[in-house]
Amino acid sequence: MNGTIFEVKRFAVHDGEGLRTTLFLKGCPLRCPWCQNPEGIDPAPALWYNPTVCLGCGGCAAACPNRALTLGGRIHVDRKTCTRCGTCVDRCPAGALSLCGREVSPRAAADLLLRDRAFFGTDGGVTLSGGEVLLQWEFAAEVLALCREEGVHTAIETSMQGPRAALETLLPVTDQFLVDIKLLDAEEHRRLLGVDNRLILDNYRFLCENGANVLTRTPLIPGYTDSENNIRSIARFIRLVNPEARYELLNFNPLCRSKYSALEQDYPVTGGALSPQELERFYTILAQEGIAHIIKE
Amino acid sequence: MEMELIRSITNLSCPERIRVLKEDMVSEPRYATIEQARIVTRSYQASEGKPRCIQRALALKAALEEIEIRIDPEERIVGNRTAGVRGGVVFPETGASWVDREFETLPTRPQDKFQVRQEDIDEFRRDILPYWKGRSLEDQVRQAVGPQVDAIGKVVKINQKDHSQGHICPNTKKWLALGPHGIWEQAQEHLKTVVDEKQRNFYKSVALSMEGACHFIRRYADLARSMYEETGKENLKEVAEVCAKLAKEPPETYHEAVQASWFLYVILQMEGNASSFSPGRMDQYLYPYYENSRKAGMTLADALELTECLWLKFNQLVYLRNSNSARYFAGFPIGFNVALGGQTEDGQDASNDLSYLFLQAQAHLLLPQPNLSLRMYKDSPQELLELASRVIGLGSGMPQVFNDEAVVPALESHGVSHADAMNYAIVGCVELTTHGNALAWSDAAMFNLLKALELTLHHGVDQLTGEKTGPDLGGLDTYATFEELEAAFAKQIDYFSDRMVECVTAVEGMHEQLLPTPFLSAVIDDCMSLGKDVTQGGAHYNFAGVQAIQVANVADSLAAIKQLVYDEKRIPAGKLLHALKTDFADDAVIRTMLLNKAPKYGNDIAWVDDLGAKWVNYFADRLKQYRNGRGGIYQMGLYTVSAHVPMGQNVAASADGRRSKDPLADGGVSAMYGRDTNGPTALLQSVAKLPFVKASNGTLLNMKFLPQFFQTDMGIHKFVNLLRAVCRLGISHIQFNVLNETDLRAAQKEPEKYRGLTVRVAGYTAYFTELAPDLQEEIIARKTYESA
Repeated sequence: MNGTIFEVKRFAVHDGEGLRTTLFLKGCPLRCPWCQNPEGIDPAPALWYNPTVCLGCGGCAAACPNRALTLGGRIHVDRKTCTRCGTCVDRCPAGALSLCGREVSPRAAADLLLRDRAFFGTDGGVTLSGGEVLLQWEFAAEVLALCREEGVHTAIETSMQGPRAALETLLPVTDQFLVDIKLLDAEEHRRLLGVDNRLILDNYRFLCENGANVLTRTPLIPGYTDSENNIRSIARFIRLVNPEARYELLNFNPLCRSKYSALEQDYPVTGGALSPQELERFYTILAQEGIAHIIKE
Repeated sequence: MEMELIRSITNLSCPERIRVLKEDMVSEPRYATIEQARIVTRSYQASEGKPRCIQRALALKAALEEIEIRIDPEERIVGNRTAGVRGGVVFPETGASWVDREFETLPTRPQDKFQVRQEDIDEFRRDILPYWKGRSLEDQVRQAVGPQVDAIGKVVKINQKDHSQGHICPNTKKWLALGPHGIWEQAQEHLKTVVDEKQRNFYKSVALSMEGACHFIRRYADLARSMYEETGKENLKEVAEVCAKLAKEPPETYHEAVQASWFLYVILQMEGNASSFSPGRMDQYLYPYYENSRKAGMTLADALELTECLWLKFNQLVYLRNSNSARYFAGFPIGFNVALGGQTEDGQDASNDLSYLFLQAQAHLLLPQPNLSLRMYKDSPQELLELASRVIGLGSGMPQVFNDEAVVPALESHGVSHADAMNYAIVGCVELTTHGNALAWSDAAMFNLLKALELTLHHGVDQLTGEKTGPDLGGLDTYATFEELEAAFAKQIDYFSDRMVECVTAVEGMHEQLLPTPFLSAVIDDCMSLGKDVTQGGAHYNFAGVQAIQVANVADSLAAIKQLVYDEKRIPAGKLLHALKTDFADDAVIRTMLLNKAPKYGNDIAWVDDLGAKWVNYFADRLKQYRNGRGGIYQMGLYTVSAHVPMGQNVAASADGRRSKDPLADGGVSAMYGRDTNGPTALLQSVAKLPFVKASNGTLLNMKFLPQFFQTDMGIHKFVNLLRAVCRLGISHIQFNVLNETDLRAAQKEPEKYRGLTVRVAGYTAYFTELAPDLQEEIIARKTYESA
């Protein structure tokens, strides 16, 4: 089964052990306001336009078979008529137009991931991320199986918002699960992310009970997840499920604000990364709650 | 290595004495000096009629006996070739005319400035210049092959026309074992039996220069003794004792061996005034002396202090080049290249305490010299690579990393024995050499392949001058296929290669005639056994090196032409020629297409990288057909140091979208700046496709990293993983520029040159240049992100 991807990140140094290549799958069921990869939310490919490199030559508008593009200072895309055929992308001399998202076969995806095998060594490998991997779990499982056949370490980054069948299928082909638990309060979860977290927590239990290698992570988002109460509750929960749990707090990274401006959207998170002192306060909480393995960079 | 010992070494702080000496050194102004020129000229005038090697030896001996010497009261390792530090030595034997032309501009020229004294300028013009007019290497070369050198000048830069050939790694081990007195005795032994006049003169010249060396060392002993008597400073007493001993016998302790090594390099520079005499594998040949002293009670702290004294010394000699040469080799690199780690001849790990001490010394000083080089191989100790990575992260660009897995086979395939290949060292910046037995003439010439391509596209006509400088083999308008274009390119390369070799041979002949170097020859095998100077071919290995420049621009230009003109026919040949002739003045769309619609070298796209590899291969194979003036072979290098800027100024607009006179890709095998947009692994995979086995003269790859990468243990661990991958990929050299604030400011101003600079965080990646200004500021402030 083919999948839709939107980016390949080579020399990934933060998506699991060692040096890795990360493949980003398109589409996500959650609507986290702080999303780092907003271009990955919509499952369908999208036409991207970068006005800063556009020459204004008009070649794209002339080439478009559906007349979806008009020129007027900058290019305007009629999203309703655009079929994402890519004719304009090919025509554009400057690379101002690009398709975000493309369909690939599992073999092609695995080949992309395995190009940097020479760098993986003994501890590196491949990681699937998103978007949400579980939304395309059949594709993901095929890709990981192909990488496994080549003896390469496999990991996925997931919110676990997906069907149980997805995890059952992925379990035998995934060496490590990097799982996010963002908010423990179900109502808060529903209010901010669009769905409650019942499925997520159930899936988490399932993974831990079935011997998966799990690294639990919580992104510290100012004003959203970085309350003492939230972190303490998550720590309690994961310790209850697995006394040997490995837990990592991911500091906030505001860089994605640039992506929102490219999409002409506002980014709701204000403020920057947490200071070392603030981080230390959270580490103290984790220690108090008996987290055995606190992962720090 | 025991972890505990490594920890003891890395816990050592920078000694107070070193701080003081460093401050003294960097605060002293840098002057051009004519003292040696004065002595040498007088000596030559007095020795007219004698064989050249004897004249040279007498001139060196006179300089060693007379030149003003100085000791800083805090010094433990002493010796310099000028009284002041970092003096620019005027050396009329090789070049006087250019000094005459440029003397007044030395303090104001854009690169490598020196202060001057008016009385020196006057004396130079009155007493020194007249003698050397028509006699210096520079003038003789000009008389012999000036027009030929000029005729090919835009394509080929012929080097060593006004200074001695350096890039030599002497046999320091032998020097330490025998000392100058022992070598003098060897020369005397030969003189008892040898009858050939030329050989006798050679041995006599060696003996004379060793007499000078002993005298020079004794002068330091005497000066230190008298300063000690005045001040009572213990270090001066120690210096006096060490030097007094070295003037008559070989060293035994670490202190003595370090001091003896330094005297060797000072005297080599006094004789040769050349770019780079390299110590090579110091952690190997100094180790027995270190071990002796450790057993006798020397502490690690003391060993480090002595090492750092030597490290400072490496920064006190600089090299005065003419202004044009200074643009090609900016920052007066003098190339005291020290190699550490690697393997022994029989494939065992060679690292020892000194390897770690050397890295620690670099971490403390972060000075441009020595040019510290780590030899890496597939089983390099993890702890050595980790410490090296930490030092790299400090941002001095060192150590640079060489890969035994690529270098050893390259040397072996060029006729070097397995034992010598395993014992390789580095000279100058990145040039490869065997240890103590080669004159590799590493910088014979630089060959601008992109300029040759320009002539190929435009009927042999130089697009900057309108002159026809190459054969008219057709043009882009007449080649019916890409293959026809390639065939013409090959012929254009052949044409200039033939002429280049004629010029290099002539220059080498001039060196043999004018610049025999007896002192150097005494420490290069097999000169002493053959009774032959290095310039006559007395070394065991006699190479000549030519750099092929620049693979990225050639690959990108050919790829754009192949895809857009021939395969897809999106740009008509006539239109492209017009755009190139006019530097894209009215062809913005064509330039944009060249930049964006054809793939670029450095992104792991096989067919583009293969084009680069193909022409590098072609050039290397062409070089194989020639022999140099000393009977050895030519070998290819892939590096430019800073020459990508002036060499770019020689080339009109190119089909890779590069504007007329813009710099070429930097380094040697790097991608064109800003065009490797698939990240470091893709770049490395592209680079790995080049035929490193044929680039035995040396290669250079620059990579940029943000400092945050090195700030955590995990970052260091992953960086070592990257080094090990470079090793597996068979890339022979890599060096890392850890970007500082200035670099990032430059990236803000000229984003097109830094497009590949990525910022890495979990689950997300971004290009630095595409971030909003406030986010760039956060990264510049180094607040948050571990990045690469």
